[in-house]
Amino acid sequence: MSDRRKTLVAHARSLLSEGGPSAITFRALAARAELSVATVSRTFDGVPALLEACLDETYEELIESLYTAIESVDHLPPRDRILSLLAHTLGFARARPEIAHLRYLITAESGLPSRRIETLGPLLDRIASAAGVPPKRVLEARLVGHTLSILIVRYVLHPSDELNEITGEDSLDSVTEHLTRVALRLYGDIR
Amino acid sequence: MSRPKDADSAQTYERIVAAARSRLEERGIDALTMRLVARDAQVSTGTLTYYFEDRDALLEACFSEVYRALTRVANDCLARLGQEPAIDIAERGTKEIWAIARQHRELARARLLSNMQRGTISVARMRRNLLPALDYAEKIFPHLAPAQARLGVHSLTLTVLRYAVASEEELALLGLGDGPEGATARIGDHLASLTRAVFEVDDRA
Repeated sequence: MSDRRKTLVAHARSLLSEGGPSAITFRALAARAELSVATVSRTFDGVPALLEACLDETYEELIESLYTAIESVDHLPPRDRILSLLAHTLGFARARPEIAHLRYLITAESGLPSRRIETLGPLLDRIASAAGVPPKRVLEARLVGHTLSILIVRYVLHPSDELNEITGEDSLDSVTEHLTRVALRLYGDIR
Repeated sequence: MSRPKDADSAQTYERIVAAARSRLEERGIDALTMRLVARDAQVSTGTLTYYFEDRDALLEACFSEVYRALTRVANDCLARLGQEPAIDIAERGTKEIWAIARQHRELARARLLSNMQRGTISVARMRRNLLPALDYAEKIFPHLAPAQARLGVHSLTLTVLRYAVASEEELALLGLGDGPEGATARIGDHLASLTRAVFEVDDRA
């Protein structure tokens, strides 16, 4: 990625965290980056391409951090690896709610893009292996990993008042406990 | 607002909703415009706005039939309580709801998109459609902490909605490339496992 592209993506992500996807316009980005709108539009074909670039960059960070996390828990028993990888992914998503929102929005509009699907398969398989799932159950494990990622991303998007109505209590901990139970049970079912 | 000439109550209302649903399910949410629905339903735009203030109101009417179908499933489940284990009833109910969601995937997409565009679920809709189901879950699965029973229903709802809009490519990634029917069945089995995972106390790992 060129330096200009990187800089613009960084500014776009900061706009996203402040105002959500609707805050992203070439004009707003140009003002933030102190560049002309023409320069921004020479770098990105349009706002959708810019938003995809934000998602791509975050997704690369997630993949890299997850592979590192998987290596760092290699010595632990599978149950502890599941707990650790879940906590890592939850922490990653909770630190970036604006990206989670964008991911869900674009998926609803046009589905997961092909290039992300290509990298998602090997990642889900690597997580399944860390969770102690035997290779013959890899397809079931992909569904488990995918479901957990869907839930993690979606729960991050609930405003706290909405979450309080849903859980009946004022606590993020109940969501963490819930996702932990689900992850241990689903991976446990296929080990 | 005075009643337009071609507005003849229930029949017109039904004709408009049928036209909107058919447009939505065949061509997707982007094709749902007030002008095109009026044309399909053979009413004036004035008549259309007499019944539906805007596209969101029209969308809600499209969803209402699906909500009725979902309510029927929920009521059937409740009627069987005491006759067989609650977890078996919940598992079957999830599969039935999955079949409805997949059958109406464009409506599911529209629902998801509208939630994401708004950034929140409408409180009124949540109180009407979601919270009663969560309240029942607390009573049906008393062995769980109330928040866990409620989150169980919510996670199932979120997962069903998200898989309903999965593209063929996404299904293929998941090894579900054996045709739409095979993929739907495999996801149905997975959702049944998820039902047990959310409502049973046994992590197995």
